[in-house]
Amino acid sequence: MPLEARDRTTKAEIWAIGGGKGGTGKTLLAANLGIYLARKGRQVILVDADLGCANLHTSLGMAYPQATLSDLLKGRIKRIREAVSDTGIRNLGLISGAQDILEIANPKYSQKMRIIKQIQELEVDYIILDLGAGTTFNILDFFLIADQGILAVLPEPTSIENVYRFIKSAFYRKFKKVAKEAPVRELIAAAMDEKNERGIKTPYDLIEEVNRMDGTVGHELQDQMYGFKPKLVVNQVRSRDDITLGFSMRSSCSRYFGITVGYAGYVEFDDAAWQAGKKKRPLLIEYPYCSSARGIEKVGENLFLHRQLDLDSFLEGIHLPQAAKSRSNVEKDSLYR
Amino acid sequence: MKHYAELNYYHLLDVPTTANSAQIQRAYEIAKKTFGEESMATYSLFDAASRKQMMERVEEAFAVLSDEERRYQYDLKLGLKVAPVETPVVVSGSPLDTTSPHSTVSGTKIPENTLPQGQDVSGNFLKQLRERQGIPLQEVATKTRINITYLQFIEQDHFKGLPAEVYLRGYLVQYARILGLDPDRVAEQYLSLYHSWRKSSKPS
Repeated sequence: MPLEARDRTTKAEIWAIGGGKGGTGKTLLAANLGIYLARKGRQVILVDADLGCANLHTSLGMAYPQATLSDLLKGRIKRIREAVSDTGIRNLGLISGAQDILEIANPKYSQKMRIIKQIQELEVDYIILDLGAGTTFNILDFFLIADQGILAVLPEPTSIENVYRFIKSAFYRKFKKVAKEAPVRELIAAAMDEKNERGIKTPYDLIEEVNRMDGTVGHELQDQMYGFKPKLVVNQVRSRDDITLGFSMRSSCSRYFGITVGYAGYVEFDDAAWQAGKKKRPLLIEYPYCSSARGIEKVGENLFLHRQLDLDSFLEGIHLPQAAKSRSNVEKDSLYR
Repeated sequence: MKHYAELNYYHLLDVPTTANSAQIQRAYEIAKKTFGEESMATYSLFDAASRKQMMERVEEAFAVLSDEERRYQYDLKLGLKVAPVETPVVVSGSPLDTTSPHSTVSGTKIPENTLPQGQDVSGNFLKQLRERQGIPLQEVATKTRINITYLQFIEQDHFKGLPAEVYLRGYLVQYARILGLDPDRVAEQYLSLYHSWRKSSKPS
């Protein structure tokens, strides 16, 4: 394992990056947030959980990894630590999903749970999972093990729609895991069918319905669900309206779905990101001063500090794209809550 | 959609009850972006009729909250403010209050976020105020992270089921903040009922 051993008293914090749609910048975020944390002296492992479509190694400009998740599944290696490759970046390791085999894209449930368990036991400070596109059970289950579930969204109707779909799906998947009683599980199954006859359209409706069934169960479930707080990152921002989209989505999720979503920040549209991708070089290393790199660092800082953007500060005019490079520390602090 | 349409104006615009006019203006701008016809954020959530309904409510909310007099009347309706009284008010009217002497206080305009004089802060009072503001108890539980069962006990004055005072005080403070009330006054007054109950239920 390329990362030096350290004494630890706490488990790793897990970040997972999903979003439902391809091309929203999940891999870009995963790789560069990893670099951001590694530069802060934290030991980080990136996991390419985009089973069947692994790209992290390419975006980091790495040679084909020696051992991957496929080897773990096939039993060629016993422990996941043997699959950690050296990225060439200090403090940063990668577990690749490359060397695709048919089975890797569709692991059995027991195989998936074994991977998940081993990921959770990795002895580092941070683990970042690149989940890839879609809302399959595999992707949702990886998302739900995260301490910070992050959703990358583009300021486009199709991407936004997919993120809402992802949030609903992840919520129902988690709800199903914590609900033990059969009648409640039947309710959840009904809720997941959009044309259900009970008129359950949103997670809020579902909790109301469960409360009607049995007040105690509903309250207990709600307690458990409290921890479900995905974070939004708006990628490829081109205008102020694109930035405020994050606030609108946060408000919509809270009011319409009854789900608390945080707004971790945004990344400006930037040709440099595309150029770095073409060169197979990580953005934060190749073009560290470009606006998208700065944006990713800002997002990293917010996630690291468990904070999010504040609407009032933004609308007061402090938080404007062109001010990104020259913001003072005082301005920065007042932006957040 | 039902609960969304029933939110009070503050919750609809996502502003605290103490928001100043600049905050309300900013929240209104965002709400228009969120629910307007061109909105990407809610395009897949609302049909045209629901969107129109939401926008009408947003406009209504802004019209009321941005007008000082109309906002004051609305706050009275929600129980956030109390109309000034000119006649003397007897402070100690509660049968449970056995310690303080009778006194009178001449009425003055009561500052916002305080409690009406002579009003005991019982659980029922908190519950009524919460319901008038259109806040479901679940929302209080979610925002404060207080177990909803304890909130129910507080509202029912079910003192026996409540946790130790050190925790109870914290719960009362948080609950009061959600309702826009003076948190210290709420805690003090509710706890005085609690103490009276404890005294009277000790074996003689």
